[in-house]
Amino acid sequence: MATGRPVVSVYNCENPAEKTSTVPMPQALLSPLRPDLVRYIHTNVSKNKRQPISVGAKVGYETAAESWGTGRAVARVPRAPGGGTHRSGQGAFGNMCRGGGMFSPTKTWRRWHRRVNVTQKRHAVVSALAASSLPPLVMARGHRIGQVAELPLVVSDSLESQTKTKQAVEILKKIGCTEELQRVIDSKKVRAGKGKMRNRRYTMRRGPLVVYNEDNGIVRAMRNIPGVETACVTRLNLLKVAPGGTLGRFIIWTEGAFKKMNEMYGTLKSGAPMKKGYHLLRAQMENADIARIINSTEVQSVLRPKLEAPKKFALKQNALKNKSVMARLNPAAADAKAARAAAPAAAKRKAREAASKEHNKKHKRGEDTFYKKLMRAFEAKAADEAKDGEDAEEAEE
Amino acid sequence: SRVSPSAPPLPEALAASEAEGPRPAPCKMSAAPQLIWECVRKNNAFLRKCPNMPTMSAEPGNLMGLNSSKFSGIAAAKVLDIRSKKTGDKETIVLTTTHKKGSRSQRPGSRVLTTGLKKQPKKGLAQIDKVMDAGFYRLDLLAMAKAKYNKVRASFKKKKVVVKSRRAGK
Repeated sequence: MATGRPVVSVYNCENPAEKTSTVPMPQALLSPLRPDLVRYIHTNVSKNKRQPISVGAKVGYETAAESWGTGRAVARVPRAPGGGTHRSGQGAFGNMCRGGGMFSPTKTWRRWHRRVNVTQKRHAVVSALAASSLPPLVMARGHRIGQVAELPLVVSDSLESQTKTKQAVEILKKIGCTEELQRVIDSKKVRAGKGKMRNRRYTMRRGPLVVYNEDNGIVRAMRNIPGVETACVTRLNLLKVAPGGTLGRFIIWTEGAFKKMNEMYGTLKSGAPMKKGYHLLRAQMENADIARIINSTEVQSVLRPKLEAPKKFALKQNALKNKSVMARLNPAAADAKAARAAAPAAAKRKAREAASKEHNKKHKRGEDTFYKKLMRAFEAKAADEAKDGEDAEEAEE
Repeated sequence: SRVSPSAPPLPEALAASEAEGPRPAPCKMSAAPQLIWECVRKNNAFLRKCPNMPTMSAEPGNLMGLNSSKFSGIAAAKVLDIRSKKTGDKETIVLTTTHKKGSRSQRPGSRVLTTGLKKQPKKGLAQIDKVMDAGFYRLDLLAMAKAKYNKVRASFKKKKVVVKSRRAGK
């Protein structure tokens, strides 16, 4: 069993800059974090302060209504008897009727309270206390602990015998709670919803929880400070230690209270002296830091080397048909092909042109073109006609 | 294969106390960063959600402002952040890292170390390199840190927007 427990400094109440002594961390504050357990128990335990409500027992039924039955051209719903008023003949009793009772009227004997196993309740408290000593969780819950010297914050016992609120506030501020207290004061707002008319007019945030061992005036000194709550170590309430079911309330311990935790909860091996039959919560994993475990030499030295991902081959493409693949294999192929294609084409063209020129030279028409032939024929005909005309004229004379 | 990031060193008190065997049994806080992240990821005071945006986080140590275990300023073993800070009239660029000493993780005030960065880009980036590269501190964020540094510098050059009224000066 490791006795290497971290050690917590106790800060002097009068002069919070100096540390008076150190106390080893009680085992209870090293419990595993169990937000699931805390939430479950919080939802159940918070039901225990409820007061029964219901609609009135007779509501909706305080009429002598009777159904008119069939044959009267009206629906068969029970109707208010009598006459002389609007109410007469109106539907009654049913949840669908105006002025009727509700469906399944709420009863006071609804099961308002929940019982929770004592061990579970204790585990939840212990887990919530452990969470309160972790700055990330306390910050995440929204407490302003930037100025606080250390978590868990333990103050010397003289805090317990403060009687004046003014001095208590001063001490809290010296400890580093100024921002926190201010946050609570700034957050006072009128409640949204009907609660404001039901004597729950204002809401504000929760501030630090001061846990003491012996009340020598501290409760009365602190009870009027907005946001600050006090609790005796021996009677810690989950609803205070984990408000809303969330882990990480900002807790200020007195030295006596901090030391009392050892007596109350003991260690993992011993039971809890002041809680009969209770043993502290054990973690599922002693060392929850998985990253560290994986990166440790013990693990790394035994691992095989990392496998390379199998090489994926694309579908084979035929170089003879696919220009880009051919170009990849033989960059000169494209040029060669172009040259091949260009050479015969050019030669053919030249040959064609030459042949055509030859042909034209050989078969020069000269005077024998179509047009010239045509015109000759026309002119010949025109000449003939002209001649015929002259002959005819001569013949007449 | 290595998993990043690695965990904080054992608290000093443990190292100081009598070590049993080759390694002192880790009876430390249940403070594994992953465990804390799991407790905190869905529900914490810094969450900022809006529709059609990734979930963001407003805690002071978050480089990107995103709600993620990689960038988290509260639930990470090693925190890194670069942001601007207004000190009086001047604005400075501030680099935030976790303190090397394990015991500091229990002290909210000194959990995190802030150092100023020079506004001259050559020097500032060199400072970042010294802390991260040479110090092997959060190398997975090195490129982003440098990019952010440049952005913060750029944000200092504020151009005064002159709004010309259409009515005036005709």
